[in-house]
Amino acid sequence: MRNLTIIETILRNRGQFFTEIREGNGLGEKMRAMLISSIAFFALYGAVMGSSHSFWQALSSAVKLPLLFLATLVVCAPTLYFFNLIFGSNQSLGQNVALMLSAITVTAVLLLSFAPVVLFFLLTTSHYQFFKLLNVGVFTISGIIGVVFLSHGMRIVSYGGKEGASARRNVVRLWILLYAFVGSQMAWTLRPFIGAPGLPFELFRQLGGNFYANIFASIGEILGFFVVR
Amino acid sequence: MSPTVDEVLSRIRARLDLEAETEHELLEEIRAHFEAALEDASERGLSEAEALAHVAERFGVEEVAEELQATHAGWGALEGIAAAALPVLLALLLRWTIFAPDGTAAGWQERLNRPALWAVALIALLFPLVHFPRRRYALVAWGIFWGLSVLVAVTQAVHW
Repeated sequence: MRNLTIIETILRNRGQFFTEIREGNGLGEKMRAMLISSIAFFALYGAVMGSSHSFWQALSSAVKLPLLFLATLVVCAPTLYFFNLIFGSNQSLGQNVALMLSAITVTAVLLLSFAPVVLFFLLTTSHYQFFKLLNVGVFTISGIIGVVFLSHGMRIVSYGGKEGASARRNVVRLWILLYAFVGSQMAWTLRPFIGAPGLPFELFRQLGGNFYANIFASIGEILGFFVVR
Repeated sequence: MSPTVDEVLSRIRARLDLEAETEHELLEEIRAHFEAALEDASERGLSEAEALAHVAERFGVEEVAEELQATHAGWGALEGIAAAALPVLLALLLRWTIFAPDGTAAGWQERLNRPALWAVALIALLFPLVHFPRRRYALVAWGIFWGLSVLVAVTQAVHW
């Protein structure tokens, strides 16, 4: 339970939190606490998403959602670390991962804060495309705030090395785009998270198509242009 | 010059970085202890100024503040998390027991004969009685979600 109290430190005392990361103070403890918190919050949100379909889908989404974010972190961490290194950063890989974890934890706690809203719509609507787009919206808002947090943290943590600071800011911006692309493709690969009504439960769906085409198709169906199969 | 009770409390407050409501509750509790100790001291024949100085020294402003900060830091957000997460979790529990595995409410009446539903429902019903500071919010949210769940199961009227 004590691990979850890190949320308040991140959200209320972020300056001190990032300064401690810059100084490498209690990095292991912080990373463990953020990992445990984000897994718990993602799991609960995943369970809500999957509950629109079935118990097994809820269970599967509760496992897959933390996996989605952590796998994206693992895939993207080296890029951020080495590009920062090229442009004069003195942060270790651990510090970079801690910063990314702080962004993921913020995203996770925001998703948790949206869980009652999503549950409300889950209970009162059976419109699959609407529910899917609602979740995309929630993920977009939470994800954006998470990466803004990362960007803020990067500024504080890399304050010591002024040389190449502007280049490093651009690296972070480009890395955020990369993170979004990898994340969305990872989500597409690990789908379904909600589970289409009428289809039986499946752990993973066959590959094919892409995330963006599917979202456009869902918007098209909601607006009445066509029906998504 | 001896400090007043308010001055000692503001020195403690200056060292705290907690939620305003928590800080207020803690400082009120300290004030009560402080005033009882002052009364004790004046009964032993100390003047008000001496009693204040004695009590302030005995309490140890820095130590009290550090201890309070260490004990209470982070719990405000944790209570918020519990208040948001528990009703959701419990509503999901109900949903999984009264809804069919495919997510529909078809045949929910037959499910009433299953002991598992009643066992889980009872646990979920009693769980919100667990005391935590933001339990009122959690209880109201839990009531809304349970009401909606049952309403949707019994009638599709509220289902869009």
